[in-house]
Amino acid sequence: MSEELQIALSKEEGDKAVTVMRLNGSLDANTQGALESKAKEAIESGADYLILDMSGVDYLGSAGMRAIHAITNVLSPDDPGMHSDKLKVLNPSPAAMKVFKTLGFDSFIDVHANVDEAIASF
Amino acid sequence: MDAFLETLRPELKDAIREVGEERTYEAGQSVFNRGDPGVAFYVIKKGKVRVHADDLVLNRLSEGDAFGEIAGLGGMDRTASVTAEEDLTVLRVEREALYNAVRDRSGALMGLVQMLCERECGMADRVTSRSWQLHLARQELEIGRTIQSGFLPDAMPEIAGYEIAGHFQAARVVAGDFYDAFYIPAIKRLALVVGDVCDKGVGAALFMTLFRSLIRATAQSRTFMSWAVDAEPGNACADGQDCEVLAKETLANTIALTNNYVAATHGKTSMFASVFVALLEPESGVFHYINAGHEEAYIVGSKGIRTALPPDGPVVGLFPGARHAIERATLEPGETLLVYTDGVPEATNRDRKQYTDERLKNLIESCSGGAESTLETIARSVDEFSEGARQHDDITMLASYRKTV
Repeated sequence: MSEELQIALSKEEGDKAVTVMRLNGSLDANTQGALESKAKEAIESGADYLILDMSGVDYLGSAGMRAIHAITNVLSPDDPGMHSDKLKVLNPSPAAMKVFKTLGFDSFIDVHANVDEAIASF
Repeated sequence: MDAFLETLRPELKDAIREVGEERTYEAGQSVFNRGDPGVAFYVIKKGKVRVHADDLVLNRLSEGDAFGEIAGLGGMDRTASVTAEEDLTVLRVEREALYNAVRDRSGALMGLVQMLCERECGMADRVTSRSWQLHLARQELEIGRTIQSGFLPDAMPEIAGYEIAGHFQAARVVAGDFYDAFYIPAIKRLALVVGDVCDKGVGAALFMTLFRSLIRATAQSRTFMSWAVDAEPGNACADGQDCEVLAKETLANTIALTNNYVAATHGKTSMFASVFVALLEPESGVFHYINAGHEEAYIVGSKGIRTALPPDGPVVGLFPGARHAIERATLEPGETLLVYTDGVPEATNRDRKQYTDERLKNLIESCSGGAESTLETIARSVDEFSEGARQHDDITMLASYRKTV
């Protein structure tokens, strides 16, 4: 369990403004704020769709899930808490997927195993 | 750059001007870092600096201010870092050079003593004021903790044939976890509740009081409302209604109202709770439950875990209109219903290893039954595992043991 979270952004080419945020480290109470503000910055500078690449997340806590929900609220301010068509999650570890399923987020946020498939789903 | 120098005796001012060397720094450049040995102090001629410890800014200084005198003149390590916030010109006064210059000038020496005393006095003032602020903040938190403890049950309900016990260990002064146990006479059910609000600290604590209150008020609504129309506690079952149907209805309403109220009213904060609620009919041991995004609960018998009660529906407070399955199970004589929060399996030791679900399950296999003793066994095991490492999440458990007759 590391205490840091690295966030790398890359814009995808295509018709839609899709940004992939690659996360590395621990997504918990200490790092949720950093993810939320990075995502807000990306959205303010034009990203309409976000993919959270979670393959490098070694710990996902409930505070991290709070941040993910908060980002969907920023992406779709008129539909708070509804199934998100603007944020997708990519490749969470089995442990992170368990947190997703336990908290029931898998019904509201789609999880993909492949980046092209995630982009195509928007 | 006169503000600081003007406070000094003229002899000292002259000595500083004699030995001071002008230095320039670009915006963003470090003047010195915390931990560096102090060899000089600085007077700002032009520009601004920030005094900081990593990201925490302690002070901002500008033209005429001095910094680094105490460690610089005492030869001690720097207690904070100083970085130029804009292009900076300073007068750098090296300790050895200044000491040589004032050695034979009593007026300058007196000036130096006076200057250090004034700085020391100013620092003592600031320390006193910060200690006082810290004391007030701690006092506020302590009030919060006392009030929050009133949101946990004073005592467990006394139900014939049952032993009920709770365990609550907050990671910080205030907590996001809660448990509750109360009897609902109107539908003849014992309510057992465990919740875990996401995140920690004051924010989680505020939402803990909201979730706990909504759940208890909704589940007990028949009782509370009956007080307004007659003095008798409501007894809906006596009206010929099916108590099991009423229990399921109460359970569904409790989670739906809490979920939709928080999602509709506080949805923007993205705060949520995982919640396990069971309504148990004491005579038969039959209970209905909703596990909303919470850890598996267990029915534990003499041969270990008989049944796991996994989540079936999302956490409460985020998704308006979310559906939760109502499940049915039976607590047989000699069995314990154990509900806990993730603070138990995710407790860490000094090597940052987690206690894990597996360790908890293995321990439960060896538990001999009884509510209090089961919780004590688990709490002791988690405590021994943690080896005194800082607890980073609240640890909460609720156990209901059905006695063998």
